[in-house]
Amino acid sequence: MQFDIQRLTRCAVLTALALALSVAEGLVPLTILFPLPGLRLGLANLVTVYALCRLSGRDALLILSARCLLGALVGGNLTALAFSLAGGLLAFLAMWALLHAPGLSLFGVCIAGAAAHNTGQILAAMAVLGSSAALAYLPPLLLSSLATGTATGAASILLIRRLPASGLMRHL
Amino acid sequence: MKKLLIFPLTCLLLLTGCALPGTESKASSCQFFAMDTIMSITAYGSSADGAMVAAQQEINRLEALFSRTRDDSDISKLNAAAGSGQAVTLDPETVSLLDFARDYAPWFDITIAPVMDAWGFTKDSNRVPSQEELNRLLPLVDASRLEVDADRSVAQLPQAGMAVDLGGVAKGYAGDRAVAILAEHGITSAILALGGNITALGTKPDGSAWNVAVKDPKDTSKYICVIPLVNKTAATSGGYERYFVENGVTYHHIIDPTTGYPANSGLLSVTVVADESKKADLLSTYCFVLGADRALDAWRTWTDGTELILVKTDGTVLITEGLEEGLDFQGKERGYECQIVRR
Amino acid sequence: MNARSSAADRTRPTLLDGAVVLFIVVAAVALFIALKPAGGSVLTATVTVDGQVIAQYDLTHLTEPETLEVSDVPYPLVIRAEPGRIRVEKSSCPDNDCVHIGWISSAGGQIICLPNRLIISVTGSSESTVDGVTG
Repeated sequence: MQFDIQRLTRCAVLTALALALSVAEGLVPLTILFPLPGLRLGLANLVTVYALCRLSGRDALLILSARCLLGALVGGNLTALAFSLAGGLLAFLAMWALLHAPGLSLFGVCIAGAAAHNTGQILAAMAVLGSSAALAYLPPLLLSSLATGTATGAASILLIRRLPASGLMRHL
Repeated sequence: MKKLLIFPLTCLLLLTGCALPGTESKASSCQFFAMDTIMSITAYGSSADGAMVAAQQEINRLEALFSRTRDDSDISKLNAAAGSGQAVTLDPETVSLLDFARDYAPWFDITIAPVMDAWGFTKDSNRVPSQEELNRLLPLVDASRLEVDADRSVAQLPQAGMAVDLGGVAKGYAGDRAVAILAEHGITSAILALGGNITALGTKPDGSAWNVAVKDPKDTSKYICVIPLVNKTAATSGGYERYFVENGVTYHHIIDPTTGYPANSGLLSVTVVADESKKADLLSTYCFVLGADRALDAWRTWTDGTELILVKTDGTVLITEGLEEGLDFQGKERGYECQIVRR
Repeated sequence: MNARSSAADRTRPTLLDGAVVLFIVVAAVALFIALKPAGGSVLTATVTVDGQVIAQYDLTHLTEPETLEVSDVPYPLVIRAEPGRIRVEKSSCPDNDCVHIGWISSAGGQIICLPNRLIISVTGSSESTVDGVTG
């Protein structure tokens, strides 16, 4: 029972963190610098990586779904839910698979996660628009994911070294 | 990251920069919005600019006569007096167009307006009317009861609630008038796009025919075929142009005047090529409602060189023999099958 | 329970990270080439809302600027077409991505306003092939 409460608290704290990160990111949109719809740093992915490495795949998925649902509630629209879920789930799958592959560092994992996230968003946009028009944005978004993925990769390495799982509650 | 983004953008610019500039003699073109659609005229020759202004003014004049939404138009006056027992004096042009169009009832009926209104197609607030409502409205749809007296230039709708809408033929007539105005100004080479109606005046300046593409009704960014056009109009009617979906059922805007429901004739689109633009415009709707078999029966009786392209829902494209020469069929890779129809 | 991975303990990029990068670059370039627009001297801008065409501009033959106010959508916006280019001038949508993207002026260019399900796309065609489109 104690374990469950600990796990629950850990997931809740991480969900809140992910939500805060994605809101914070929305306050300083990268798209003003680079006019490319869908472009963002993907800070919330940090939490997914952390949860995948230090907790479990199941917890990571739980945190991700909760973050997307709450984000849509805060933002107040269903389309946003489709977007963050499509992007988030695809990123989750890519990172989960790559974390099980040997020989990669978190840079590669996060870059793949960012690329998968962008792909998911474009797929959602295609579904919403009922047109393949949005596909034209994917190549530049994929290239930009190399940069954003490297940034979140570096950040996740720091995060994971500073916050081992057992010490999470103490640190927070 | 900036560098990474600049690469594809530069490629994009280079690609378009490679395109050869046009080599034709000087073309003038204008675009404007009239009769609820986008119109464009491209004309060649030194007097083209003035001619196009005159043509545009002519179309605006006709819109003022035929519009249903302007209170002072001929059609609004005629509709307002429906059932009053008073014949309304109208412009001779309006009267002759009413006279021309009412002959195609019941398959094409200019008095369909009450039913179109019930479907909301005229107001952009679509809904499916109940069968009782349609049963009440359908008796009002009968162009044969429209009284037209060309000598006195008057017309009359005998029953209150009846209404005329020239939407299915006004653009076509405007095409004929615009071409006449361009010709009066000495233009011998022009192409007009009044909504989906393409009218070719003469040939291109190099003497070759204008190439006119027919849209693929399933993928409007692609073409079913390209046909050569000289001094003719190609007009198309298709359910894909305007429609709405309710409870999973698609309702398009071409209403069969005999049933009050969207025409379910097994056709995706009909393109008519005719000498007169008003004829092409009207017949495209007429044939869409008729369905392929009866449209071809009608075609066999025509002697004025009017030709048809019928795109059926099963993917068959029926093209009448007069369009065979110079035909470039492009629908094959998307599953369409082309059949030439002989008399 | 804990899915600890060796990746979590590395602090430097590995060779396989390079493979991931290479894969993404190849995918992006392949997609870019596959989507390469048909070039042509005539540019047409098409504005669609919910898949239905609401306006079309022949950008090449446009002589003076035109402004289109789209008010029948969740977030009304204003589109401006000029000879050879088109943009969203202002929009009441929250993120304004469609405005930030600025002018598009080449074949294959796209502006998408997702909240409005509005797409502006510029396509190119060569003048000699098709002079008019019916339908």
